[in-house]
Amino acid sequence: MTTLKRTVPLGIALVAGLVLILQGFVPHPVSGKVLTWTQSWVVIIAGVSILLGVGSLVQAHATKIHRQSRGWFYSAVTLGTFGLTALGFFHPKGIEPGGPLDWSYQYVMNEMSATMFSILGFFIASAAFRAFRARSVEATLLLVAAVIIMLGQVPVGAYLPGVPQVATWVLEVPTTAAKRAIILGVALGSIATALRIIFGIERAYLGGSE
Amino acid sequence: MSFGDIAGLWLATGLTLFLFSFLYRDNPFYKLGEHLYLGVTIGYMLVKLVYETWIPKVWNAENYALVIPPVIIGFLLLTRFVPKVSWLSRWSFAFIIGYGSGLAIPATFTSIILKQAEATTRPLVTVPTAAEQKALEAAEKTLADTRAARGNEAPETRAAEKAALSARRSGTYSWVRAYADVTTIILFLGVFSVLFYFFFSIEHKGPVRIFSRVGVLFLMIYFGASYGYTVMGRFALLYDRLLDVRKASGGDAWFATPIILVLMIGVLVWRHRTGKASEEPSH
Repeated sequence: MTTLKRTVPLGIALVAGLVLILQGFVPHPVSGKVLTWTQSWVVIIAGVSILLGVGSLVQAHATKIHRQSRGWFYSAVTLGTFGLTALGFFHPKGIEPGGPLDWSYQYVMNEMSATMFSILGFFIASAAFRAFRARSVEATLLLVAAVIIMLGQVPVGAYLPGVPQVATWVLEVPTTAAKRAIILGVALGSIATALRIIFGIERAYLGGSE
Repeated sequence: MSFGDIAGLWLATGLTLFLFSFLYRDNPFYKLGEHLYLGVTIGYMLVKLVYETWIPKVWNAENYALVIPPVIIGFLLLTRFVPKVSWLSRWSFAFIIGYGSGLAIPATFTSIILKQAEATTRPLVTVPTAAEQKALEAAEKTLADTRAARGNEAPETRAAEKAALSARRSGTYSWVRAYADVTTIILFLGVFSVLFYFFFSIEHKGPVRIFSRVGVLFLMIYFGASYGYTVMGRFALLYDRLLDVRKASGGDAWFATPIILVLMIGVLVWRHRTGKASEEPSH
């Protein structure tokens, strides 16, 4: 049983990983086909895996409603709106423009996503107000860079001599340098982690038991 | 505006105000909006998935033999709901994670590491090459000859002037070249000092510490610039939402904003006065 629970998954990860590495370094029509073929597999698997998330969501909220836990009404709202939106599948227009799903996308999802992100602006600004104190060279640089970039993004910044040019320079030179180093570090780290997964050193994805 | 548009405007305005009410404090309107958003988003994603993946790629697949294995692997994930056989989901996770890791290695290597390294390791000082200097001499000679033969105003002279100007840019060490070199040097210094800051195999003391501190300064500028950029992006969204809320306050939208706002404030004040606000479950 341990073979099925531990060895087989490790073998699957090893084979899948090695096939894809070989495919990446062997420019041949067959390797191209392997990539297309496995990509279509992953799209289908990802499509089915959404059911795992939906199932967990329904299970968690249905349990809350069943137990009449505190705030169960909000769980009912989630499940109710989920069911109502999913019913849009049976509408002849489906997800096409003019259908109920397009309507809910336009007036609910789109607008609320923008609102959620805009609210974050307030919290980031208030956090910065507390954190951005020019107490050291590092903190001063952080503050100055943020102020320059913000001024460079607003119309009033264009009236301040040199600000748009300095903002562009900050974005193109020192910011690019630090970003490039971070990208390089992340890339090297992700390659190391990928190799650890393929060779079975990293096994956290198998879960804790057995 | 059609009835559907007005109903949509009321819904969008109401939900926007519900979410903004969180700036006051956590309250039932915010929770209602948040949970409604979650339900609609999941429902929409599920239907979109059915239309864009399941129907064309599984139901209407050209070759079912190629489709059955991924469907089985996918459905094995759902064994997480059955504790006795939940270990079967490991096979699917192993495939997905192994596939992702295998795909990431060559892609990261070629599209990130090599490209970023190539962009960083450029000549730090770009003095004009012998070929560029020769080209400049030739261009100057052509310009002098054309001027002597055709005069200063002839179109041929203008073309020769342009060619000479271009040759001067690459054939002499100009301010433009100096600026580009300084930029390259700063980029090089920034990349290596930041990389060195995260390199812990050598103890950071003495001159090494100074170099790693330079990396910290670059990082601070990057974090500040990223912060400024993010905040301005968020505020652009905020202006957009506020404009929409303002648009919905007119007669065209049946005064959605003021009516919803008054109702919300009324309910919040009533809840505060009756002490219901303190009974609200927290997140």
